[in-house]
Amino acid sequence: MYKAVIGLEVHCELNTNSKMFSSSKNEYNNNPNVNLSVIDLAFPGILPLPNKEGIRKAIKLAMALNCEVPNVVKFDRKNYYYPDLPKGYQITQMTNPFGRNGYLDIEIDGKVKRCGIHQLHLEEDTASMEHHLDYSLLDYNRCGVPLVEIVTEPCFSDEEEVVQFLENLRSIIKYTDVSEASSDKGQLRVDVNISMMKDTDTHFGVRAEIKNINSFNSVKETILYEKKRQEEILSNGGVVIQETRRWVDDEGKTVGMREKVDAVDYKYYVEPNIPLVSLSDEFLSEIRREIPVLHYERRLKYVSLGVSEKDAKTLVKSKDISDYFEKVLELGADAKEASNWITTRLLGYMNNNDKSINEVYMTPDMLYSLIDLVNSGKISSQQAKDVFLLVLEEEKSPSDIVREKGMEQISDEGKIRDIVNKVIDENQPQLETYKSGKTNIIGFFVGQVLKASGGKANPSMVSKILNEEINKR
Amino acid sequence: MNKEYLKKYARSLEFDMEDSQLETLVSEFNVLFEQMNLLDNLVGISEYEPMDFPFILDDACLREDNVSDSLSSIEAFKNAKEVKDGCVKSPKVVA
Amino acid sequence: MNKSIEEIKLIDNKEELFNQVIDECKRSQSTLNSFVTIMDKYECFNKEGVLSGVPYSLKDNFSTSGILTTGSSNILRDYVPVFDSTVYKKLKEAGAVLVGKTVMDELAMGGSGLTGHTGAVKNPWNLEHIPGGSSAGSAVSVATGMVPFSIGSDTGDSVRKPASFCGVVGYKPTYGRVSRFGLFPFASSLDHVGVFARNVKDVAIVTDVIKGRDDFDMTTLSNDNIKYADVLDKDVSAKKLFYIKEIVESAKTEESKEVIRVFNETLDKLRSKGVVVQEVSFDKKLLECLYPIYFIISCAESTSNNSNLTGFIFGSRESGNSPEEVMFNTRSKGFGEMIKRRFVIGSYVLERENQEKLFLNAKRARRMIVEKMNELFKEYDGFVLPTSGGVAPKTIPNHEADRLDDEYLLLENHLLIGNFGGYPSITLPMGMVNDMPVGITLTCPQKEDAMCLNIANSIESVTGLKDLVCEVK
Repeated sequence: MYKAVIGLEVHCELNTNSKMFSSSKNEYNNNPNVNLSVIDLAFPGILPLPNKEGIRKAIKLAMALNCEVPNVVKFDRKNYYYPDLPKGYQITQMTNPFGRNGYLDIEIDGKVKRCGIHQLHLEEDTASMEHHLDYSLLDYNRCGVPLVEIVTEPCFSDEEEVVQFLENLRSIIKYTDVSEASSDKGQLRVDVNISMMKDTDTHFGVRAEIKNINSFNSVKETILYEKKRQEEILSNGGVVIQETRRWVDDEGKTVGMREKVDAVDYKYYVEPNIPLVSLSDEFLSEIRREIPVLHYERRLKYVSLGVSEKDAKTLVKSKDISDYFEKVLELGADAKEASNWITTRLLGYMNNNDKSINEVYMTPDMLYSLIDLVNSGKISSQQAKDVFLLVLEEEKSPSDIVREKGMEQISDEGKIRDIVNKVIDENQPQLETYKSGKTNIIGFFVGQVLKASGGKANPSMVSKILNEEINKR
Repeated sequence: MNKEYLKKYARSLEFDMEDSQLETLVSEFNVLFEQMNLLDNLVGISEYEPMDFPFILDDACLREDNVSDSLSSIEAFKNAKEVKDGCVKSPKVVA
Repeated sequence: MNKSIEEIKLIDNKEELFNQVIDECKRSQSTLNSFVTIMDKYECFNKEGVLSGVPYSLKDNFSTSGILTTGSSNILRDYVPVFDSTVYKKLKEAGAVLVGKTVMDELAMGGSGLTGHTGAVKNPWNLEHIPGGSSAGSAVSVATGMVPFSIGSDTGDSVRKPASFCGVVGYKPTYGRVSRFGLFPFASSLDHVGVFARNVKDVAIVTDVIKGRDDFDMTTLSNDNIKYADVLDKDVSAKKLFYIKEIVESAKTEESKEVIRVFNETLDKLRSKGVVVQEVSFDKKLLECLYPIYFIISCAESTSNNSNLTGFIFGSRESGNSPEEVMFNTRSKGFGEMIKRRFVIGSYVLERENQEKLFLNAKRARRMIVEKMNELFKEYDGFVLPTSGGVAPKTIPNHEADRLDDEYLLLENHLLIGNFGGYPSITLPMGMVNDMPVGITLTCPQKEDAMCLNIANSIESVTGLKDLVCEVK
């Protein structure tokens, strides 16, 4: 009867070295008040100094989200009083944000849904507070950290779509290297705006805003809870109050904070201490060039090369892993083979040894070399599994390992023929069994030949030559 | 524009005003509205863009992303009247 | 003591001079009350600098690390900055010696010199008259010969008007010529650092020291690489100036007509040097909007700029049971009544529904004036006008100075043009009326600081009023 209309405001802390308007360090720290400057603390007379890298990252993300980007830097002041806001205003963007009218595509039930992005703007984060029984403590480490705010259109109708969107968004954020986007560190926070309406309604219903949700799972639960709460109210003939709420995790519900009165007027006006800085076409093109191919396109490409959907999804989860995979492909490896090695063996090793793909000894070149050793018949695929582990443990290249351990397959026909014949000679009873028609026993001979060759005889060649020789007898 | 409204308004700016001051303010608002009319009646005013800066700086440039040493919290809070555990202390902030 | 900078540099024992100056300052306090803080130690940070050993005073809205800086407001009565304003830093590096921080109108929002938290400043020429403001103490400390120069700030005439009332030279360079880092902001798009001295040369010497591009203030101009003190004597015979007909004709009172007479005499003297001075007409309706434009923009910007004064990190914090109460009590007690009224108006004009007709219209009208002025500046090298329609007004007991009223005096508000367009603008004494000094103000095109000081130097040579002083009684 009722359907949900959901819009999101996602706040993402950028990973610049310094803060947005001052050069104090932008770093999460358990110790309070260690990354401070006079600018962060809003002493009388300070002036904001915008961080070029923060601007580049904001624009980069805006471009990756298909937004229209301005050619000038303009900031505005948002004025209000709150203890976590030392200046009594926040420097943000209202009139000329770094991104407008963008979109992000997601896949829902096999269909593509285009999620509209209303705007993306750059601003500064506030201080954080630690609440005690009858007092609060103010920590200004976070104060001034660059924050990108992404505002979507109210285009979502359920929690599945929202979670899909957030996961895709997070992937783009990480691919473009604008943020670590760690939920644990509070670097990605979501506000959910949700209202309910009937199909027959012409206007959106009254909406509630649930602020500062830290994990995607909580976002999902919040939406489920709110849908139910609002539907109940409306079904009983009641009215939903327009208000700000917050999700209380351990109680599994949202609670009202304060009435979201539209009457809060932030008196926005242009920040007079930051002159208009022109962004040249060159500057903007350079940023655009830095945007890598994103996860969505990469996944499609891998699938078209023969990789399974599941494996493709795994490969694109991290840009570093995807880049690694692509390097192996560049060297000439088959996509399915390379994908198998990575998803079935390399990732497992990385997890067990707590190493990232950049820390692991096996470079793309080495992995390619390993694959090539198998394809060129120099080692068997069984041997390759051992070589793989030895490369990682002993930190030597695959060819070095093969050479040192004398693992090279015997692929010389003559040599194999000799071994085959010797084995046949030494196993007359089994030969009789074969000749009597029980040809399955050829497996025994294959095993014996491999054993006699110390596991080094090329198995397919062994099969061929064994068949030839045994049939001569 | 009356005193009650202005008193509430001042409250939203986090200060209180005495009655006599509110009276003065009411008459100042009357002058303000006259000023507003003077501006509105300027011929051609709507054709102009609001001026945010006295002139454009051709060579304004942005700060490089370098880190400077932090102010110590002792320096930072030298002027703070209530400090606890290296933080500025406030009465309980209720969400 | 009436010594110029160059004369002081010739003195051997600068520390002894400093002690004499300090004594004089202390003695003057009960009569004139120009200082909030008088230093007790001679500190010269550079014995070889351009201003080595030269004593000076600094308006109490310039941050000085370790030295009380109050903005003449109760809310900052015990505020000691932990950083230096750029101007103070540069003067230290040039070897200048700080004598004291001067009284001003509270938070620079006034033009009388009467609203500072430590009491009213008196005009040395006649103690019953105001010195003008907001850089009252700075003007007086120079007018009495206590120091050869002082640094003030000019947002709507706060250096140039008191200069006229006190018979000294007051210079407001081009916007951005001198860094505002560390200067308590009043209205950021109108604020300028200014210099007081008793002659144009000293003003030029000091301006040369404090000007320059500053990485801490994005609005500063690139260096123009001209030493103003070296080009003061350039020939001015080819210069072309104008004065505004409507302003001069608005003189109605005896006193203002006398001022105009002195003004005309000065113009004739200037013409004898070959300077062309012509009458130009300017839209009277637009001139009548000068004060409204200023009032609306400055109140709005000031409200926002002073939102950091809440008592948490600094300031005279009052107690409260909630953070709101702390802010409310601190601000209620800490701000003078007049500035509270300004804040209310400033906030009102910034409200979303009011911005169009108030704040934005004021900014549009500002542009109208600046564009028309820039047109005139294509043809003229500057314009001159009497700084005020009279001498310093008398203080009226129980009358609140700076109360907004609708009496509009064209002769009192034209200095605002210098703030709107960021034009370099200088006041210098042109004569006496009723035994009190009256000044003439010259305003030149943007960035033409060298030319402005050059022409001012000529004006000074024809009036013969160089080094005018009114010793402390």
